Amino acid sequence: MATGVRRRASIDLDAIIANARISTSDLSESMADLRADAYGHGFAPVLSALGEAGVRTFLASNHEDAALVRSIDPHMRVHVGGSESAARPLPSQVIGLGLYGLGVAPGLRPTLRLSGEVIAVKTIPGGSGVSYGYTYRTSAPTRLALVALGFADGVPRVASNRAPVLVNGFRALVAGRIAMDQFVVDLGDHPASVGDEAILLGDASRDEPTVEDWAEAARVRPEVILSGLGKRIERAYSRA
Amino acid sequence: MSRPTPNPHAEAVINLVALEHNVRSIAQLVAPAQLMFAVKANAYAHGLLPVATAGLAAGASSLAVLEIPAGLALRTAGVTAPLLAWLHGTETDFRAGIEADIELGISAVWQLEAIAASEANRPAVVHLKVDSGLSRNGATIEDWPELVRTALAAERAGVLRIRAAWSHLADASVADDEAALAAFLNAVAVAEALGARFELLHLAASSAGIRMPEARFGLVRIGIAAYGISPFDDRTGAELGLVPVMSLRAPVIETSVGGSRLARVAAGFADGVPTIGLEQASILVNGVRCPIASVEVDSLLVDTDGARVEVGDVAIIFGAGDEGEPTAEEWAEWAETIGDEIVTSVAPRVPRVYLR
Repeated sequence: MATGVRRRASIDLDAIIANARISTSDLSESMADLRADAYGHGFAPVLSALGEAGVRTFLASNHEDAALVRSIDPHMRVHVGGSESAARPLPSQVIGLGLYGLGVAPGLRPTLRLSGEVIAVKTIPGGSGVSYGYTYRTSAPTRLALVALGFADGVPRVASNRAPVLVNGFRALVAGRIAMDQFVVDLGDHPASVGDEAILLGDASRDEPTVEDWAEAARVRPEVILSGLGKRIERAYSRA
Repeated sequence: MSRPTPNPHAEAVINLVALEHNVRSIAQLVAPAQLMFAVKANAYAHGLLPVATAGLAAGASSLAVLEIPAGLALRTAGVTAPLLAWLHGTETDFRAGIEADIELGISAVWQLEAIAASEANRPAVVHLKVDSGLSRNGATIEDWPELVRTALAAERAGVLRIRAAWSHLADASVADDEAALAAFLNAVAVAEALGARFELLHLAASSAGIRMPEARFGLVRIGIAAYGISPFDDRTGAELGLVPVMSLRAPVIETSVGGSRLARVAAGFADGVPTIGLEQASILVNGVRCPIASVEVDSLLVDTDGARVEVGDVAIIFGAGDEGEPTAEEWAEWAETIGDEIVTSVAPRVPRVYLR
């Protein structure tokens, strides 16, 4: 397959396992929530990592995913969600969104890092409109970076002009409307080059924007953002 | 309380008759300009190949694919129509694109250098892009002469053939679009003074293609309008004579949830149902608009007050609007976005069912 622009979700399977251990006292007696394709992380790799770590019971969105669980190890159990309120016998402990670093438990780590590629860098005059509807205007001559991610990738348009992005060490807000396949960042006089990585969802401890930042900017729950990450984004898995 | 059904799921019904109607009527409107049909982002999440094929059959003469890998997928499937790709990164395989006869939108000198270095077995066919005010892709007015000169030198060297000059509008206001049109014409004149000859000019997408005849030139790039959604804030698709192509449906899987009058429908935010604006949102269940109470990961709850609802009944989350269901445009208003995002957010896990 020929390569195109880089759109990458780097998924830290070790962080998912560590988060699981923080979320429950006994992995083998807990059920891990892998609905929504493991909330955008990819069902099969997360299932396999947690299975090796000792989790025996899983919650899946559909029967296709559930069949995968049974095919890997017939001793594993799987429940199919879709009916959140239905009462049924389930393990006493559920490892929920904490798996993906969401929530307030101390020590939880982010599990997914989303980056896009800077595909254009240009200098434009002050007073220039940026992106559809010119909802952003430059206040002075400035440098703009164009990032090849858009709402078709799950980057929510409602976060236009609000959500943070890190480009070449510089943190700025999205400038103007997020479009289907691209958005703009106003770098001021900070340098950037075509090919640079723009980080949207990262690690707060490294001063990167986070899924919580984007959720707040978009006024949705973080798991909605993660579930919406599109198919054009390549998933890359790391494990120690 | 009823029991959930065994394997319920949402489905997106893609009405290819509606798509063909939209493409045909816009093609008539913009003629004699040609219609390039935008099938980027998996044909706005409608499904690339069936939609591209239907659009070509209905009168589109070429396809806008955004990026080379999408164009290659169409070529592999046997599509021979002209294709245009313009979103390129540093790892883009230009050689594969050129050798598959995918025409390339070019915004910067580094892209011309990558084409020259690609050692493709034929000249690339390029559309030089100028930024007429949108501040996204395209050479700035300042960088434009250098882009044109570099392209002309590459043309003389046999590396490429310059076919077109183009730009993209901000759809901010008619006055802004007219200013952009003037900037575009000025850039074309600059390029011609440098020796460039363009077989084709193109500027308008759906919005200007419909409301600004002087922006049509030889070709109009039509995306959202072909999918039956208006490009304007103040006019609906129906008012433009367009028919929405995608309908998102899902079965009721539980009634009287927890003893209440809520019913559960098998579509949630992981299927692409928005979670913003729910206080206004309602969907059609058995011919009755039911307000949404909440949207969870795999399902949503509706208030069935006044509606007789049973498990297995089909809810229409959005559609053409002709049965009383909301349109993607109506959802866009609730969710503070545009119809484009409502349809492109419908998740890959939702099966597409094609209707003729």
